[in-house]
Amino acid sequence: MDYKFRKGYGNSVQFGCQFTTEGELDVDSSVTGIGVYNNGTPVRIEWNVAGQIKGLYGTYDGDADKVYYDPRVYTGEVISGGTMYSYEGSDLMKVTAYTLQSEISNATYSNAHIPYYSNVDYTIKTPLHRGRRADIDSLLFHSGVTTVADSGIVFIDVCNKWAYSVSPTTESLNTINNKFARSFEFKVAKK
Amino acid sequence: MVDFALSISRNGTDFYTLDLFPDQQLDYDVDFYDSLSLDKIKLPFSTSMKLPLTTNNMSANRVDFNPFSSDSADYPTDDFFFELRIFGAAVSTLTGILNVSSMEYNSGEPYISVELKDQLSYYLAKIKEVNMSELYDQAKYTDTSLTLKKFTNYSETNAFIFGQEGQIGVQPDGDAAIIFPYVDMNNDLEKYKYPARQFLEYGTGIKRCGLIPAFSVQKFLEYVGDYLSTAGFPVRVDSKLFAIGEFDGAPHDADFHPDKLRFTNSAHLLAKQSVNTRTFTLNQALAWVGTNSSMQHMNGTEVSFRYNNGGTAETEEKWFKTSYWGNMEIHGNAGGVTTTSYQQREFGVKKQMTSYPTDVNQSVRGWFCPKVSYNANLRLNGNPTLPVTISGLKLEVPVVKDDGLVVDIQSDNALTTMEFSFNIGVYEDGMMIKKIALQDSNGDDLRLRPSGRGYDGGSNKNQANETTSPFNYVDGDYFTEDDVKVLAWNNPSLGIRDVLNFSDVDVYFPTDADVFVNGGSRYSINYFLEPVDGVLQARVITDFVDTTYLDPFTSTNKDIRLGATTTTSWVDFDFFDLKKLITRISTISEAQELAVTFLANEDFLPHQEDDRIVIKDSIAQTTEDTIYDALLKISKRFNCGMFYDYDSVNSVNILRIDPLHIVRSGSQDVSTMIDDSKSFKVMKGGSRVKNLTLSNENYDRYFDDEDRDGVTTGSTTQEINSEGIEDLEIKLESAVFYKSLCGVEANERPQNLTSGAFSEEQLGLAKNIFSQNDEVGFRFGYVKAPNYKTWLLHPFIVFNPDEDFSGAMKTATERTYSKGSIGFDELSGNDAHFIFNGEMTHVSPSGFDLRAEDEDGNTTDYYDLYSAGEGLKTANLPTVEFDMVVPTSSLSNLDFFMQTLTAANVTNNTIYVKSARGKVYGDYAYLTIEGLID
Repeated sequence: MDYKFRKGYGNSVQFGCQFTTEGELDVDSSVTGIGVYNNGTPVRIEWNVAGQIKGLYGTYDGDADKVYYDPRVYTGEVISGGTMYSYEGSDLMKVTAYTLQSEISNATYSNAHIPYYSNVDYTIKTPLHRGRRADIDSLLFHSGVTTVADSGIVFIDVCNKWAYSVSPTTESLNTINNKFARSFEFKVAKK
Repeated sequence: MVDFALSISRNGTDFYTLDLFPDQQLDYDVDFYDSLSLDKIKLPFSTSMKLPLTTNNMSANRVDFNPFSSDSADYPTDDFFFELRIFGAAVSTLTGILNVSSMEYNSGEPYISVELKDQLSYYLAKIKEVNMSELYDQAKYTDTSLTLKKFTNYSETNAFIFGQEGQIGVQPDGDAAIIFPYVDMNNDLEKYKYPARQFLEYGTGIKRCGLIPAFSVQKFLEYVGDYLSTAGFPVRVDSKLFAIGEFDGAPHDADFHPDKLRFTNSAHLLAKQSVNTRTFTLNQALAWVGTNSSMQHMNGTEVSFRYNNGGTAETEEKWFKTSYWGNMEIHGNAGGVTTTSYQQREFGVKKQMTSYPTDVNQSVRGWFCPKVSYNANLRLNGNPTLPVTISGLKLEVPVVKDDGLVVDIQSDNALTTMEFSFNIGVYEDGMMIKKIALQDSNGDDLRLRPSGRGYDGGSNKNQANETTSPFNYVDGDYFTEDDVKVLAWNNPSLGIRDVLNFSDVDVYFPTDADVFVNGGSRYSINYFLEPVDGVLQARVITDFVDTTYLDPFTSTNKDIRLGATTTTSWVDFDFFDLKKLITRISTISEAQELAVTFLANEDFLPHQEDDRIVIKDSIAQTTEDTIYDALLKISKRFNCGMFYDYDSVNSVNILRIDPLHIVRSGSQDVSTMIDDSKSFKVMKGGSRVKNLTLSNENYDRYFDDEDRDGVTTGSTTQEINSEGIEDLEIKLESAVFYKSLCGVEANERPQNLTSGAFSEEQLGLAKNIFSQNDEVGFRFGYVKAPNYKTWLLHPFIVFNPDEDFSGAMKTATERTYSKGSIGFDELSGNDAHFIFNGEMTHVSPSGFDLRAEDEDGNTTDYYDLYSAGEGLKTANLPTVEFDMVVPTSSLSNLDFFMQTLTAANVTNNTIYVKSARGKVYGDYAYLTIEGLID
């Protein structure tokens, strides 16, 4: 299985980096603490521009001193460092495939349709998944999450070394003999 | 990406980011006026927003409240500062005030509702409860060395640096924040045709003073800016109408003369009580009477104590009467004088009398009649170190019930259990206004028990001296109905024990005993023991026999009635059975320990030339108007809106106060911003007002409605739209100075005027009542140059030693008014002949009339100014509604919407934005605009 969900918002570390290629951050190898993360650990990178908190999600590769991320979702912006938060908790559900859907909205005014605002929202959908109710509780219902400030879950595309912060939207689940079969849909966080 | 970030701060300096919902919507809402309630001041910008109820948002640096666990008392009701940063191609910042309006939880999506308001609300909140005197911190208003004499001199000479006198023919300095012009308070201008006199203090109380500050509107607004400024938050008030701030020296209308525009209210001058404090002392006598029932009439109810003389009891009659010590409380001003004396003193007239009455009807035995009014704290004589020890205190109990002559009092404390309070009475014009219970060291009222009994009060119940001529051995003070003298018994050696003795007692005087001293009233005091509890066991005479005595000088028999010669039995009497009680202190020096000094404890009206005046303090004490009140009244009267702006060149926050139509500046072609895919709507004026009424406040002064037609002076009603259906009344909640602030016509002719004892001038009579300062309201006016000198008049007490009033003067005292110089350092001579710094009027030198309508019913420049307001124009101009996109960068301040807008593709007219509402998206806001076209 090359695609999986994980939760467990853990350690953080300040880091510096260089931005050379879209989808990759060259992390300063001398930063203390980073080396302890396993390769492929999903991370959240957070930085601040003029008071605005910005963020992206990806995976950390300690061998290459890089963080890989999906440049389609986290559109390219030159950053030179920030805070890296790691998701070192246990894996949750694993899936064999997923789809990333994008929904583009473009606001225009006037008969000339002059655009003044556009927005892209992303959704991750899993294929039909079979399981037991208890397996999915922690994923869908944030089982064990006690405060609203607890982080949600990340979805990891192991093949591409990408990660996304995802949040389940409204779901309904029918279980027969404690078993269910259905696909799930998650909103993807863009910051 | 989210388009904006919201930060919150408690101090305006340290901001903390709040969590937002994903894809949070930002609403923008600006509205310059309320077309339905034009007299309301509106804060242009406001919006509301919901924030997630996250731990971060609830934390101490943010809203600092957790609805799950916090105490309800900690709910954040205060104003927060907010900073809203809109991230587009550039960052646009909106700042203002954030209030937490609600928190909703126990639901799927808990949230905090917040309101974001204009920075203006911070200004207004900061000045809401602050007395307007706080603006006047400048040296000339806080200087503590300013005397009344300096005040009444022209200020340009070094000797009188803060003097407030004007100069004949010279317009008062427009830059003076406060001046003291002549303000007619009693219609004297009509009486004398020029400001002939003004009163430093008129009538009773300290609310009629003719030294009245007139506040410059310009300076007031400037000082509001100074007041709002802090080190990190500089504020300036700008106004084109009033020519201040950016528009200094360049008024919107030169005829309006904003430099001469002033307002007055209840404020007037006071002198500090710490210098020349007002005081007088009333002296005690050797004896006073507190409890004192009338026994001069032969009606009684005590059947068991009735003289029966062996015959049938006459049930409705007492068996004796007496005029001993009269029939009222006895009080006065004594102090050991041997004859009645009068003295003019610094603050009034003193009459002192001897300790004992020579006439049974002398209830008031001396007084002090102050010429000035003030709030006094009462102290014992000379404010000694407490306690003072009172020795020789006695209480005579001559009678009990209606008809019991006391002959003996039980000395056994177990049997005579009566307790007494020890009081000082304070009387005004013969009526008790204060009974002050003397206290023990714990601050509790004293409860005294007698230490023993004593012989012979003063009431001569037994046989007196038999050898003194004139032969007066039957000197009793008690009589039966047929005026036959009554004696308890006729043997002096038997003695009468009707006096209670008391041990030395340490007394404390309460520190909070205050009395308002009314100038012209007569004050007197006494001390008295008053039974409050327990019983007095006494023997009283209940039976008499008729007999005669031979007068050895005249060899004639005198009828007398004698009481029983045998001892009567003991009877218990309650405290309410004691109806006539004489309290004595054995020496005058002991009694004087209880003399009472009336010492001023608050500021009073100025009289003495070296009275100290602090103008700011005077204002603080004589007006309750807050800065906000005054600002609102100014804004309402001149149809001003309040707008927040920022001067980025000088980094100063601006509070702009102007009518909206004057604020409009610049022009913007918005053709390309208008959403031409949506309709552009032109409508008939929204309010459809037919008649507009501008109403001045009627403070019930004579000239507020001189012709009594129900229309306050300067108000008007005008038709502004013949097609309209509604009438609109705008209440200005202030008034215009017109002629005089006097009260109703004065018709009373005092007794001493009709008798010819005093003239109208001496009595200070005027055509109309001199208004109390706190009744004249908040008024706007102009000042014009003074042309005359005015006499400043003082109250003065004239006393009448003729107690029969056989001359022209028909009262014991009369309060008159003088030009000073009676010898107690009053302001007098040239100093009292004062040039007021200007004279209040309602018209500017260029004829700008502050009334909306003149005597002839014509509207004035003021009306034109008011009715030019855009709010009113909505009543008769078409309004428009359309949608447009505005760059977010234009939302940081109101400048964009303050412009006049043009859009040739939809209208040939100019568009004036009234309101803009809509959503903000990154670099742009999509707004629905309402406005006027003209």
